[in-house]
Amino acid sequence: MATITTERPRTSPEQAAHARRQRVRRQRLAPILYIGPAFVAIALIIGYPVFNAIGTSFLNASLLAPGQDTFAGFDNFTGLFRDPAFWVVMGRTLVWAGAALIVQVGLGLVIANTLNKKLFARGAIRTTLIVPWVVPTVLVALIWRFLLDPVSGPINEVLRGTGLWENPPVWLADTRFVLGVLVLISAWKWTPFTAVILLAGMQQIPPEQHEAAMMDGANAWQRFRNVTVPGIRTSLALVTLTTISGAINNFNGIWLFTRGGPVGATEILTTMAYRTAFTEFDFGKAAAISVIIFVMMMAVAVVYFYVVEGRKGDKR
Amino acid sequence: MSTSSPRLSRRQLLAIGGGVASGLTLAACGTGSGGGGDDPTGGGSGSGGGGTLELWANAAIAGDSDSGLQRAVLAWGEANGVTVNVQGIPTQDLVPKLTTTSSGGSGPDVAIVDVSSVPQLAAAQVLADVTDQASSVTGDFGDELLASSSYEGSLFGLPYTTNNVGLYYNRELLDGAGIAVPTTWDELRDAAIELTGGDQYGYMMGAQGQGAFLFWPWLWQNGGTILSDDLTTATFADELGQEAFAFYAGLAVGDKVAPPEFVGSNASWDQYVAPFVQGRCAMMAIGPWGTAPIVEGNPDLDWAVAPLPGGAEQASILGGATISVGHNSGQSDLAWELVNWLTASDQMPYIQDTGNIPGRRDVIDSDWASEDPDRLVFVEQMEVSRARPALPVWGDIEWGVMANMWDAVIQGQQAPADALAAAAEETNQKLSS
Repeated sequence: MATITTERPRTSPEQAAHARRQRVRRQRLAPILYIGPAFVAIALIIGYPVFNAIGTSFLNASLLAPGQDTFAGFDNFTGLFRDPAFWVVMGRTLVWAGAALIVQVGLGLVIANTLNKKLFARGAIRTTLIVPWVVPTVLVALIWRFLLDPVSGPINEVLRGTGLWENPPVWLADTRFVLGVLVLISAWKWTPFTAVILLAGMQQIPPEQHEAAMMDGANAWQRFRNVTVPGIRTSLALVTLTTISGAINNFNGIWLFTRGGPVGATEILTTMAYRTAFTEFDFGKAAAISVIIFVMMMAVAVVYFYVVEGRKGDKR
Repeated sequence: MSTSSPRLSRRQLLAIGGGVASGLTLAACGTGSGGGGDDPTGGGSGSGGGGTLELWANAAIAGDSDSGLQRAVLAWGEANGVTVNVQGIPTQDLVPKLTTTSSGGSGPDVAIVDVSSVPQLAAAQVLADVTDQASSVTGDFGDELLASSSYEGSLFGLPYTTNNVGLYYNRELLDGAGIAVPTTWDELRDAAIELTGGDQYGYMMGAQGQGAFLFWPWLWQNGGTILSDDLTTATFADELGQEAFAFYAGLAVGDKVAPPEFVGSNASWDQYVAPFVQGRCAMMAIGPWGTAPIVEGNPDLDWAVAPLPGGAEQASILGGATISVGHNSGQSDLAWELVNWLTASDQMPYIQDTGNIPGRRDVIDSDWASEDPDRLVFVEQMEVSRARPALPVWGDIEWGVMANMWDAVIQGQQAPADALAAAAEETNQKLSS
C-alpha cells in the first residue's frame, strides 16, 4: 500500500500512523492464521457431521428406501415428544447419569482423599488403581460377563457357596438389578479417572492450609469439608461435567452387556438412537434423538462454563 | 442440507452417531476396492487380471484363514490374479454395517448374508439384482431356496447354504431316564419335565429375537401363519397362534424346564448352546450350526439330532445364507464371476467341510446328504421347512417387536396371551407405516 516515492525525507505523522495500523492488523491476523488450519479441520470433522445430522433430523429418511427422503419438518421431534416410551428412556438416561455422578464422584473423592495422605506403598496403590481406566471397554465387558456368569461366574459361586443367596439372580438379565449392575461396572472403569483428577486438585492445596486448620482444632471431616472441598472446586466441577456427559454418551457400557435390554430395562438415549437407526432403519428419527442428546450436552457445557469459568472471573 | 445429498448426510450421521455409537463397529467403513476393475477375467481362465475384491460375511462363515470359504477364495484369486479380502463381521453387526456403508456409496463387492435379511438388503440397495446373470444357473437350486434369495420377483443372490432347525438331544440323559426321543409336543413336554431336576434341565430356550425365531416352527406346526397372504396383517396371534404360544411359553415360564440363565442368552448362539454342550440340558432346538460348538467344546458328549417334534403338522424354519454381488461394487462383473464360481458344483466340498448344507440340488440329492444320520434329518426336514415373510421390515419385527414381547414374557412382566396380542397390534402398525 505504502507507495514509495523517490524522495522520502522523514516519516510523516500519517505514515507513522499507517505503519502502526498495519502492525496492529498483522498482529491481529497472525493468531487467526495460526488457528485457521486447525479450525477448518475441526469444522470439517465435527461441524459438518453435526449439521448434517441436524439436517437429517428434519427428514423422513429410511435406509430401506434409499434416495426417497422427504422433508418432515418437526415431525421426528414431535413424534418423539408425544411418545411416552421416549420419556421413559429420557428419564432413565437422567437416572443413569445421576447414578454415575453419585457413585463415581463420591467414590472418587473417598479414594483421592485417602491417597492424598501418607500411606504405605502409596505409589504402587495409585498405579494399580488406574488399571481399570486403561482397560478397553470391550475387555471390561468380557471380564464382567465372566465374573457375573450366572452358572460358572465367581460372584454367584461365592454367593451360593457362602449361603448368602441360594439362588442368585442372572445379574445381566434381571430387570430388578441390571441397571444398577451396569452403573457399578461403569463406575469400576471410570472412578479411577475421577479419583486421579481430584487427587491432582488436592495436591494443589498448600499443606499450610491443612496445618492451619489443624491448629484451629478442626477434625478430619471439618478439614475435608472446609479446606479440601473448596480447594478442589474446579476439579470437582470438571469431573462432574465429564461424568455426566460421559454417562449420557456411554453407549458401549450398555450395548456390550445388554443392548438396552432386557425389555428395555437399560435403554438410554444413545442405545435408543442406535436401535432406531440400525434395527428400524429410521434415520430421521435416529438423527432427531442424536440432536436431542447434542442439546443436552450443550446444556451441560454451558452450565459448566457459567459455574466454573464464571466464578474464576469473579475472583480476579 | 435437506434433500440435496441424502447419501452423504447418512454417512456423516454415523460420525455424529459419534454421539451415538462412538467407536463401535462402524469405524471400518472403507472397502478400498482397488484398481483393476476393468478386467473381468473369465472364471478359471487364469488370465491374471490383478485387482482386489472385498467379501463380507458373518464371522462364522468367514472363519479363520483355513476356513472353507477362505481356502476357496484363495484358490480362485490365485487362478485369476485377484486378491480377495474376506472380512468376517459379527452376525448382529453385519446387516447394519452393510446398510450404512452402502448408503454412503461404498460397501463390499461380494456379500454372504442370512436369507431372512435378503428383502431388507435388497430394498436398501445393498445387494445387486442378479436376475439376468443368474438365469443360466438357477436350475441348479431348489425353488424354495431361490425364493428366499429373491425380493419382489427379482433374484438378489444365489443360495450358498441352507438349513433348518432340528431337535438336538443328549442320548445319555434320555436313555438314562428311559425316555424315548419325543416326536410330539406332549412327549417333548413330558420328557423335558422328567429330565428337569437339580442342576439339570430338560429343554433349552432362547431370549430376545432367538425366542421369536424358535417360536415360528411351533406356530406353523399348529396350523398358524405369521402374516396374511398379502403380507399386510399379523395373523400369529389368532386362536391357533395363541394356542401354540401358550404351549411354547408354558415350557419357559410354567414348567420351567429351561436353565434359568437362558433369559440372559442374548443374541449369541454360543450362550444358547452352552448348557447342552456342558451336559446340563437334555434337549435344544437349533440348526446344523449347533454341531460345531458341541464337537469343539465337549467331544465326549453323546448326542444326536431328531426331527422337531410335531404338532398338527410337521414344520421347521428355513434358514441359510445367500451370496450376492454388492450393489455399489465397481467390479460387479468380476464379483459375479466369484459368486458363480463359489456356488458351482466343484466348489461344494469347501462348504461341505464346514458341516453346512450347500444350497445346490445335486448336493442335496447326493449320497453325502444321507451318509450322516444327523445331516439326513436336516435334509429331510427341508421338505417341511418354511421361509419367513419376505419383507424389508422383517428384521424389525423379529428382532424388535417379537424380541421385546418374548423378553417381557420370560421376565414375567406380561402374560403370554396379552403379550402376543399386543405384539400383533404393533406388527400391524409396522406393516402399515
